[in-house]
Amino acid sequence: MFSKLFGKYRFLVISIALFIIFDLGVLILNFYTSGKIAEQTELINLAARQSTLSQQMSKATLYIKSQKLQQWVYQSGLEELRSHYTLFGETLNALTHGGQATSTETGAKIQVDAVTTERGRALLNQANLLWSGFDTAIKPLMKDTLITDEEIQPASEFIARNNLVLFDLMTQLTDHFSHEAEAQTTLLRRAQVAGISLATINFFVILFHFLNQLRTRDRRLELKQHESDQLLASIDDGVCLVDANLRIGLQHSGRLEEIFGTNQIAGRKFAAFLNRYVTESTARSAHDFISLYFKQHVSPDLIGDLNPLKEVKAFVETPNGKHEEKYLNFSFAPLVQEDGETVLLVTVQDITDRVKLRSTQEASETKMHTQLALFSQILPINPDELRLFIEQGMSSLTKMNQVLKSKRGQAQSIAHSLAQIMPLAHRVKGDARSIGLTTLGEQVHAFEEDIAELLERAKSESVSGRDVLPLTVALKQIIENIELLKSLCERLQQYGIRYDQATSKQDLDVPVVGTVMPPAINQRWHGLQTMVSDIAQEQGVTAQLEVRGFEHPLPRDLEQSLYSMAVQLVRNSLAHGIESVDGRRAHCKPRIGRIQVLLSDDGQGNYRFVVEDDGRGFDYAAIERAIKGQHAESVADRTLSKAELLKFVFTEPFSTKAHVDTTAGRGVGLPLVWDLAKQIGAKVQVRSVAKEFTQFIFLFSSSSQIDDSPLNAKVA
Amino acid sequence: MKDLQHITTFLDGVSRYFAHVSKDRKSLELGTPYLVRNHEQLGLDLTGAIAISGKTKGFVFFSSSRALLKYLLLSLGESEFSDQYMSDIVGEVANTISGNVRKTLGPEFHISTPKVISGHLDNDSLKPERLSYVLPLKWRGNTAQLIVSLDSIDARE
Repeated sequence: MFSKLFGKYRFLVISIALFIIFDLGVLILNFYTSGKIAEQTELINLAARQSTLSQQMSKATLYIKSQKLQQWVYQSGLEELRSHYTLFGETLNALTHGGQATSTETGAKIQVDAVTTERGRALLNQANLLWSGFDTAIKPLMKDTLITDEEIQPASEFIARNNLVLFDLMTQLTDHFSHEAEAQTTLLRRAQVAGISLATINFFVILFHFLNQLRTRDRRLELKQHESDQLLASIDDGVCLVDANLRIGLQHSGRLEEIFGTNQIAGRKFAAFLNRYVTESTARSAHDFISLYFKQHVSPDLIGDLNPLKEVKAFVETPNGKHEEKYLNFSFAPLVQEDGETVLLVTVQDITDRVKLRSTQEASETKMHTQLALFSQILPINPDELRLFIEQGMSSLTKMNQVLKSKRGQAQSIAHSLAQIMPLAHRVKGDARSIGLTTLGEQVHAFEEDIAELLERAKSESVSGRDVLPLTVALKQIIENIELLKSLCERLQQYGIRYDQATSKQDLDVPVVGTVMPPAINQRWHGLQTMVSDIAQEQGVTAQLEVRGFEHPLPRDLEQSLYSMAVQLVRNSLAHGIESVDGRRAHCKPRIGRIQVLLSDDGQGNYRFVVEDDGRGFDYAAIERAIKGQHAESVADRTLSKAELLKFVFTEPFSTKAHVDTTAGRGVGLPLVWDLAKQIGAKVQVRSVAKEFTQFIFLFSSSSQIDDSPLNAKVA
Repeated sequence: MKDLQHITTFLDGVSRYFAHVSKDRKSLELGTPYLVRNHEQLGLDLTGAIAISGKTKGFVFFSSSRALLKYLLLSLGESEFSDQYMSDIVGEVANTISGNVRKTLGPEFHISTPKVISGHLDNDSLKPERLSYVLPLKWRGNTAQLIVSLDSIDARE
């Protein structure tokens, strides 16, 4: 039980108890001996007074005798004798048998113990024997105030005779008491020396014991510290503890200093420390998150997924003052300490290499996939077709940028700018798909979707430059992708594959000039068959394209406009004209739909460009319904003529298709054709018979100028 | 779409500055953003240029007409319109952009101290064939531009 009570402090408790015992022993002995010495001192005084009394009794007797002889008054001498006699007898009796005596200092009665020492007893016995003689001689003098010569004479003689003996005995008794007192003092001194020596020894024992223990403990602590330091230094991860006040503990692994490039970590607030390396919001989230670990009702298992410091990006200042980007992974584990307090073990892993490797791989893979996709798409494309597309595409994109640049800010003009950009984007999309560049086609399609959405918004609210910003960013990406195509062509050429050297990056304000020569022109136009097959498959129809008249050189601008017009019209034929196989059979038509693109000239520079199909023809009733559905306010309830319907078809963005897909539905194809026709100065004729055919005829000459006159489509 | 995020941050910095000066959040109007090749002529009368290094490299320019800077100085209680004052104010706007970038995007962007350029920009430090964004700005009828030329990691070489 003792060991249980005091445990490892037993030695300390025993040592302190001994120290107290020694000190108390000395104190008690001191107290006892002091009492004895005081008693002894009183005895010395009493014995010394006895000596004096014996002399004074002799003197008083002689005085009485002398006075009496001269017949003088002796009463004072008698009273003195009587007082001395009584005091001496009382004191001698107290010393011999114990009892009360009159104090020499105060005159009060004090209790005196009988002397017990052998020497003292012997001296007292002798003194008592002698005193009995004194008693006999002096007693007669005590009875009356008048004494006779017969009474004084024998007393005087006896006292004279024995006085010196009694004085000597009392002196010896005084010396004896003095010796006794001296012995007591010596005993006390020795006891004090012994006790204090023991206490001092005990004190030094305690001191040395504890110094030894402290040294041992310090060594152990140093060893532990050393081991702990070695352990922390050898850990590959950054490790530290965070207490309930969200402060970092005093110890942390060496790796933690390496990760954060500082040794000023211990004792700092975790979130404040983190704030130097991550964004404010992340540091704030981290603070909120680790606070959860110190809330009793929160289970650590449930909050692990909320950790905002997983794969977190941090910027650490290097010794040369630059910032190094690091990716860190923090994990947290609550630990309950011996005192019941919870601390959080924080482990920090530097996963920069892993993340960067992954990021590089991903970027590389994405880039590779994009390039591979483009590469695989351009390989089957005729080099001339691709070159012409790149030129045409860049030209359209440049125009889009010019539109953006020229319309600086007026809110009402932004919608107009977007409406101008839309057909240009549609043209790039159509041209891209016509030669099989589906990836690029999809990118432009998404761009077109964004424009359409913004146009829709512009109907109900004001749109700003900030709303257009995402379109500008997307436009840049499309331009960069077309430039990538150029770059791929150049690389292919380096491998000996014939791809005409793409022209250097085109200035955004400079138009493309030149002539498209055979066989490039012929190959490009016949390449449209691929587009027809792809779209026909998408639309669930069967169709064949016939192209004629592209065996001669054409001005590049003209050729590109005609090509884009053909692309849009052929796409229209497939989306709206050519029926399904069953539909064609029901109308007694050949199973395979026929689309023709024809160019002819009269040798005088007058051209006739025709795109026709044997599909279902214009459904004017459906067109009118669609127009009235989408533009009710402008056409009211009146019946529209075919010419008016055609005007709508060519100038307003509307479609008879209920849903938009990558082929049709946005209603910008024919406005684009009309726009291109204007650019080449063409007169447009449209001939169509329901359920039979549709024919678009464009008449123009090589000297035609841009025709900005209103649409004058001729309905045949 | 990182470009969009970065440009928006730069634009917010400029907008915040002008909103603070004029006590009107909508005082700065943004025109339709467009693209320019770096070898083309860039910039207006005075330009505060900030070089960006790190993961994203490039430049951000706040370029302004003198007229706008005069109005700006007037709004700040200045009555002197010397070149030095105008340069200081252009640098201050550029500094505000830097501050906003640091606050929003963290230290990912290592941003240089703004440098003030007079006249058209010196394009030597820009890749000539690359495209930059021009964001036309208008404040109290006066023009400025925010020109952003970035080579982000996902930009194609």
